[in-house]
Amino acid sequence: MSYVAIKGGSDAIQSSIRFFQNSLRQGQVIGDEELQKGLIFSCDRIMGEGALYSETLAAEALRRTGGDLLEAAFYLRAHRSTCKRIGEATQLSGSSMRILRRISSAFKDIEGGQILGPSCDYVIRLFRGLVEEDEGTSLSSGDPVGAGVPSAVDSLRQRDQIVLLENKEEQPFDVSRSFPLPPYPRSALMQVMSRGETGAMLAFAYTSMRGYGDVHPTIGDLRIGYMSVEFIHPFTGNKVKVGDIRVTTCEAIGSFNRDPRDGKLRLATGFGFCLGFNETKAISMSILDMAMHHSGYSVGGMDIAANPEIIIHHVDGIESMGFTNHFKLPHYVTFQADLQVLLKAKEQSDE
Amino acid sequence: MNREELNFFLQQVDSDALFALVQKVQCCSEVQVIQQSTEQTLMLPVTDPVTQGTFYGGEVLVNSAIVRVNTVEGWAMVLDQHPTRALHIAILDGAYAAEVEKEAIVDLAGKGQKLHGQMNKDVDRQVASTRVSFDLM
Repeated sequence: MSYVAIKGGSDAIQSSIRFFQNSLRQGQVIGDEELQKGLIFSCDRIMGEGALYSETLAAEALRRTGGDLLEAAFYLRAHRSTCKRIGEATQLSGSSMRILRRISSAFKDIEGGQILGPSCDYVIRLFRGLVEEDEGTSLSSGDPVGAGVPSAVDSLRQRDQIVLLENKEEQPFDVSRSFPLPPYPRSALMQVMSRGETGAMLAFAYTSMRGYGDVHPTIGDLRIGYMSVEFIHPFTGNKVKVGDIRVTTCEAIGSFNRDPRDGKLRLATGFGFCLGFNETKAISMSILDMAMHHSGYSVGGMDIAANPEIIIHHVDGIESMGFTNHFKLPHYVTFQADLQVLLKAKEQSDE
Repeated sequence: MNREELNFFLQQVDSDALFALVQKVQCCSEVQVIQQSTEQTLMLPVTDPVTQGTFYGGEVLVNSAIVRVNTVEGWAMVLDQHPTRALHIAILDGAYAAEVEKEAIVDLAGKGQKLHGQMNKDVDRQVASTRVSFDLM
């Protein structure tokens, strides 16, 4: 494919930018805190799909784009590429999360308890008046949940009932530095999915439940909460807490499979993780993980969700938006060439 | 309170209180900025329970600064885009290590710890109120 440059229209382009900014002017007065706390799920999607945790920038991106979440995520991804990477935080683990919500649909009684937390799951989706002000209704007391609650799936692991896939990587792959070649390392697939676009992840996961797969998972452990980001103090050499970030994790349990380690039957699991509170994305990721890494979940040879080639190249919202939207750019010369070919073909066909 | 705890708890206090203490430190010691507050990212490695391996779950935006207070280096790293806060905490970190206004620094960090604890307590109360027990019918 060849590209032909065009020139002209600078004034019109500047006017278009001004027009766009003017049309969003009323949103510019909404403060950071209102956006960060009032539109928390929008900010979380922006950070998760932009793969950069910054509540300040998420709010700013929301303002600049008039609430277009994909565009806003693009801002964060672009900003990320301008920053120097100083290193790695200490390892994050789901069990270290300070829990706000934690449920299991596999087990009724779990260590730490079922915690409904803040969720729209129990809200009736009907417009019945405005949101009521909290009048300080008394909350029933109970033991705090805090951090250090193990996954509900761990009990099955301890009983040796879960497939443990082999970890073939000494170092995790980093797709933000280079893109892997097939066969794709598991860590690359997980990284791509954790920064994937929620709608794309949901759609691909959904194919595995409907006509093109056989995943019908049970949610072993779904949790949202805060994880501490820690780094090493350069002058003392000790760990320092940098801050807390919002995250979501999900462990889904599938049907049993032969464990590649010893051929015994065990339950397959999939894992989902994303920045911010986004249960739909974390569940979708755990389903896709399970579909890709355990055979037997694709039916009819149409393994859409089970095909790493499809998932790794299609769930990134910023890439797919960029490619799709580039069709708006002038293609005058290539289209004229298409027309010429059509006319020639017609001539030959008529002869 | 040890030096490593300052970084997080000082992020919880009001920026005016932080600045006032920094000014006090600057009055009675020599403060030199070695690295201005810089925007950086930290990779977030996540434990993968399916393999017990690791993958990167994204990056977090931080600001970090390095200073020298008298002859001792101070450092701070704060979450998100807060360059001034990072510089101020680095100065207080260095001052703490150089034994300059140490008591006042510990007091201020203690206030941050208290604020954070109170905030957590409120959230914990709400979280605990949503604990549920299911009975099979």
